[in-house]
Amino acid sequence: MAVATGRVARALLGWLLLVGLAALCWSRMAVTTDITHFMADESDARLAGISRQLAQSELTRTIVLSVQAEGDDPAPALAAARRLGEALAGHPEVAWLRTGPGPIDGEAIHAVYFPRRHHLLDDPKDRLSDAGLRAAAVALKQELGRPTGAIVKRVAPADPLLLYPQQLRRLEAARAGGLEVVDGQFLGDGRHALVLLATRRSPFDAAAQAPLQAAIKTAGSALGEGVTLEQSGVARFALAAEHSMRADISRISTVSLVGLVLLFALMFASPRLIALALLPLLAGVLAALAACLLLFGTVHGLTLAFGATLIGVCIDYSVHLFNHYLLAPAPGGPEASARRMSAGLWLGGLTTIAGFAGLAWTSFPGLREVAVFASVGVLTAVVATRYWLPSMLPMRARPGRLAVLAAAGLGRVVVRLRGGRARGSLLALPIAAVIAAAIGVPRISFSDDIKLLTSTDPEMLAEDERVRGRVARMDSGRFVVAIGSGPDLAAAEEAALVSNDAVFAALTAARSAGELAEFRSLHSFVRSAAAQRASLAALQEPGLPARLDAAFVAEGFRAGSFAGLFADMSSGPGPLRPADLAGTPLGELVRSFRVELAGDQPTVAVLSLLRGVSDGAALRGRLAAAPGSHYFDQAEAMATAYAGYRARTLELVLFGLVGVFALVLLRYRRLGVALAAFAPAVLAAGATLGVLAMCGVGIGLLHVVALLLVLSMGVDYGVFLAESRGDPEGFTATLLSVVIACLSTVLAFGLLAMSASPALRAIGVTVGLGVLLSLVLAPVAMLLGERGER
Amino acid sequence: MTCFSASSPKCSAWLLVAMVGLAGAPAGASAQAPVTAAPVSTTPELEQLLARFAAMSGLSAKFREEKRMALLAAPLVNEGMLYFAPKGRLVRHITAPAPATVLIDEGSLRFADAGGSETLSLTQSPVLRLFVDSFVKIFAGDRVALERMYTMELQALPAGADGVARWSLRLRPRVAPMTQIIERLEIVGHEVALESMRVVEVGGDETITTFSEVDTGRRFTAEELTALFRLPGQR
Repeated sequence: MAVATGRVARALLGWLLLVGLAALCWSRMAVTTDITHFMADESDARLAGISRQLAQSELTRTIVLSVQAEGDDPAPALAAARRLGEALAGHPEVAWLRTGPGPIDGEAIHAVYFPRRHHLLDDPKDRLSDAGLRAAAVALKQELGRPTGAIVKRVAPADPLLLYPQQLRRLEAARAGGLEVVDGQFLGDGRHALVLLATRRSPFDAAAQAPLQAAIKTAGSALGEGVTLEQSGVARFALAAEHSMRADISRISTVSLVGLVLLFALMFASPRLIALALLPLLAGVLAALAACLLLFGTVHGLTLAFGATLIGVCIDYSVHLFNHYLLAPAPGGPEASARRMSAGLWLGGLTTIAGFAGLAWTSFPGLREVAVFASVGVLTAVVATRYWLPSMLPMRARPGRLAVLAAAGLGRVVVRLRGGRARGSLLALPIAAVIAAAIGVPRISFSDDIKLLTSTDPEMLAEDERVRGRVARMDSGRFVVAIGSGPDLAAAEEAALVSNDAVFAALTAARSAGELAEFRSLHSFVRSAAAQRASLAALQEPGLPARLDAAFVAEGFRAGSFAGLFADMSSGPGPLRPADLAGTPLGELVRSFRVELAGDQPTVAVLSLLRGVSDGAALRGRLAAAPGSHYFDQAEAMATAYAGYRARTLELVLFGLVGVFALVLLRYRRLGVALAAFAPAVLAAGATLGVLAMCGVGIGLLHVVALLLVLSMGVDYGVFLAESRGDPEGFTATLLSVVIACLSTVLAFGLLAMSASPALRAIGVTVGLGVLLSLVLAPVAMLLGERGER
Repeated sequence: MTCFSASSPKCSAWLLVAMVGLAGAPAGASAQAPVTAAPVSTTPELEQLLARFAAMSGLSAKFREEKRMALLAAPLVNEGMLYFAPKGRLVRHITAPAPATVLIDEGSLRFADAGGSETLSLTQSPVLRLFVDSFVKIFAGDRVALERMYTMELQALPAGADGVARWSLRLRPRVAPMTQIIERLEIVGHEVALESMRVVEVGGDETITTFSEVDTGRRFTAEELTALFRLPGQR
């Protein structure tokens, strides 16, 4: 009676905990597909920080809509773009929307820059030389002869060097961003009317972006016959990736579960047992999810997809318990069976956790999350299998007919293999695995392409590139950053601007040399205070008024016409700072170039955006002349980081393996048995790598992570078999467990191998192949080990 | 009209608008359209003259333009050919001292010379449109538009050596910001042929353009319209 009460109490407690975990997960569920989770957060932390901030910046939040009508006349496209803009401007997710550069507030611009025209001179040494002054006089005369001469004439007495008009032209080019403007609207390639908009929230926030994408689609279909709408922007790719990941997770989880249920139905022939077998898995996944949500606040889609693969690991424990309880029951009921296999369960679980725990020391937030998810999930599944599941199993149960037949069949195979003549065939398998590893492993080529983490619809990518080409958009993944630090923010900003002035000169030279197509710089709007003061100081040179007058008189101007340049030099406002532009129409543009960074002291980064970099190495060489500057190619940096992290993760895996072997040796205290339990997993992993390498598959970070699963499950098989080595019935039951476990794993990972995501495919193929090899090698090693002992 | 892209002319709407502020226009003038005044009625003779301008099939003429400025010791002189086609298309091909082209059509003012090319949007700049219209509407004989912008006075002049009656048309701007920049225009001609145009600016600078080989019955073929009314290098 007391035993029965105790069983009920344990069962109820387990259910309560399960419901509590489910409620916690439900209330805090937050999935992210933000790829920055898999970006470095140490070494080059400042650049990674900038890259991460750029991922949230206006540049990344900007969507470009391109409208084209039939025929060569752009008027219908322009009209359609206006209607599109009107339809979308009021959407809650739209922060701003522009169909053109907007009205020009000339007075605001004039008020900021004209009084500071003395600060706008670049290259004073050349421009104020005698030759430079003569050239300026020629240029002014040419301007006066133009239709705009009547207006230039009014500026000239106070600005004969045309510093202010030149600054206006720089602003104009920067504001329009290289776009053609027709009747106040942006036009690309002469035919595509453009609408630019920025979202309020991150493009990786799928929940926020989905309604806007739907609204764009609806507005696009309402534009009428013969009008096509195309789009460029990060949000659409992020949304597609998120949908793809959700679809993968959903498909894999559903089909895996259905497959498992069918397999269990065949093996256990009891709906109650089928349902119970899934409980430790459910508990493991919920506990893992809750741990991630509590520790990190969100869980990444890739972690969830990886977590779905924990089905393959956690289900092994309940299968193992059931097979032993049904085929080789211990007297005393299910609790006694669980007690008998307790050591194997714990050892299997702990070796798996030891393997994953090593990942917690990586610098990838995403991989740390995977480590926590896997460790908590496996631990919970082991606890649930050992203490909760037995309380719900019937005191008496009969195995399914298929299980009995399979166990009997496996038993006969084991007897045959234990016979003397089978030694050769037993040895053939590990030898073949060694050969595969020996040939293949030296051929391993590492692939550290970040694109492995996401899959991209080629049509969507082509459309994105077409639209980007029309707007000559800057590359969001490449930029130059000028970093300045100082005792306060103003000093840091000035240091960054000084560096940015040098960056501007370097980029101008690079553009002239064809090393890059175009760039955008804050320099067009504001330069360092030091450069501005140098400009003013140059104009205050005592002999300049006379030299200027002489140069202009030589070109036909009347003497004394330009005294106005020097009249108000001392009384003007000080150098222009970025903050001075905040209240002007330029404020929005300027903001996107400037980033404040976290650090020990105030640090400001000024960005220069690039397009069409054809020679990154040459560009880096030029930037050596700009102290404090860095050329950041995100794809290149992430590939380098990935290579580093792949190598580090491999080290951690090997480190984890040492821990696993130590645990196994501690348990069995005999090297032969320990090796028989441990070595097949390592050999299976090595042979898997060898086969992949021979098939030309580049090995990346995710293959290494997948190898952890292979090692974990392979060691589990070895440990379960080692625990049963002295008990023939138990050994057969364990062997059946291993076969079922392998089948369930191959089912789950076989589905992953067919995923649209290259990342999940890498994991699926690696684990599927590795686990199959473990299934073959683990029993063989145990049998060979038995022979050795005899 | 093309602007901004690397290989095409630059658009300087900002240049114009921002610099109008410097030109002494009243506050807000750069951002607002000019205030139009109520038209003033014209004499029958002036109406007749403008009607004859409006009826022209087209115009071609040689011109010599002298810009006299307080800034310069000697005038700037340009010479070349001018063409006008109905519906407000005007082009000046300057041949001396250096090649340059100024092209005005419905939406823009474009010019190109050795220093590059520039395009100014008339739709984005009502002030610029006003300046351009003040010349183009004369060739077009647009009485209504001219009455809004100017007070006009037509005077008869002594006949020339050939005995053909000559006239002088004086136009004074009525609309800001033109009134701050131009004091008056004086056009002299006979029948519908222009002989000279003098623009006197506030402050004393003036531009005098003399015309010769004037053809007021010029008709343009489609090919000529394409070939003449474009910037060099433009297709």
